[in-house]
Amino acid sequence: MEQGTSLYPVMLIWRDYLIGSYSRRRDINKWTYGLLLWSLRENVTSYVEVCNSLFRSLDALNDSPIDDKLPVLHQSL
Amino acid sequence: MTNYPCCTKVCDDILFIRLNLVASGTTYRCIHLPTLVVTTQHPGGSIDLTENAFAPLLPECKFETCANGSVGLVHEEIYSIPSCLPNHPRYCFVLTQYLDSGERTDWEILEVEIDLSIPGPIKIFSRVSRQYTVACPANIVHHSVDDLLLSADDFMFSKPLEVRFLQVGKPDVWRELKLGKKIYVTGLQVDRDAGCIIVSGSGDLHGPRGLSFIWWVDDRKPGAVVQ
Repeated sequence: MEQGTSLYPVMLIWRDYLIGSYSRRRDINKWTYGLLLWSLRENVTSYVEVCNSLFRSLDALNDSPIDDKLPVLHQSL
Repeated sequence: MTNYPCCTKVCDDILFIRLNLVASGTTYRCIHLPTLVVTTQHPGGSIDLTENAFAPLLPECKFETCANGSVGLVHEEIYSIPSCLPNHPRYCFVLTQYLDSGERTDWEILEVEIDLSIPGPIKIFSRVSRQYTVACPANIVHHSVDDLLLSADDFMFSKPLEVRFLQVGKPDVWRELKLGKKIYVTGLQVDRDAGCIIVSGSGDLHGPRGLSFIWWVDDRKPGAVVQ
C-alpha cells in the first residue's frame, strides 16, 4: 500500500473481490477516503477515491462552500 | 478521525457504507459494485457521471438514522426484502444504537428503497421509511427470516407484560399482545416451525415456578398459557 494509507480493518467479500475502505493522509489536517477493491482472481488492487463530500456528514456538507461539494471519483492501480 | 467510512454489508450487488459521527448519529451510503468495477477499468478512472449531474442528488445519496445523540452502533442487520421493481430494490435495516453516554439503547427499524436507474456507481436512496423505533427495550428479538420483531419494555415484574409484534414491511399491521398479569420474563423466542411466539418466565420474582405463554403468529388463534 502507498505510504500514508491506512485500511479499515473490516473487509467484505463480493464475488471475486475483497472490498474495504481506506484513508490517505494528504497533509497534516487533510484526509481523503476511498474504497479498495482487491481482485482475488487477477491479484490486482484498485483504489477508488470516492468524493469526499459523499463521505462527510450532511451538516458538514451544508456548511461547506459549493465548490467543495463536487464529487471526484477516480482510481489508481 | 471520527468519520471513517466502513464497508458494512453487501446485499445483492449493493455495497452499504456506514459513517459513524460522534453525537450526530449514523449515516449510510450505497454503491453499486458492478458499476464501480467497470469504473475502475476505465483509463484514468473516469466515470459517466458528471459533477453537475451528481451534485443535486447528493443529499439523497445518504440517509441518517434518527437516533439523536447516538454515541455508537451496537448491532446492525441489513437484508433485502421483496420489491416490485427490479431497479428499485428494497432493504431492511435493524439498528441498535447507544445513546447519550452509552447508558441507553434504541432499536430502530428502517425500510429503504434504492434507485438503480441513475448512472454511475453511487446510487440514491429513493425512499426511507422509518417503521418502528423501540426506546430502551428491556429485551428484544428479531428474526430476519420472517421479518418478525418482538419487544417488551419491562421484564422486571413492575407492570403487566406487553409484547409488541411487528412484521417488517407491514408497518400498519403490527400488534401488541397484553398478558394482563405481571411476570418475571426470562426468555422471548420465536418458534417458526410451530408458528408461535413463546414468552418464558415466572409468576413470582423470587420463586421457581415456571410459566410459558404462547402466542401464535397467526393472530386468528387464541394464545395459551403453559404451566
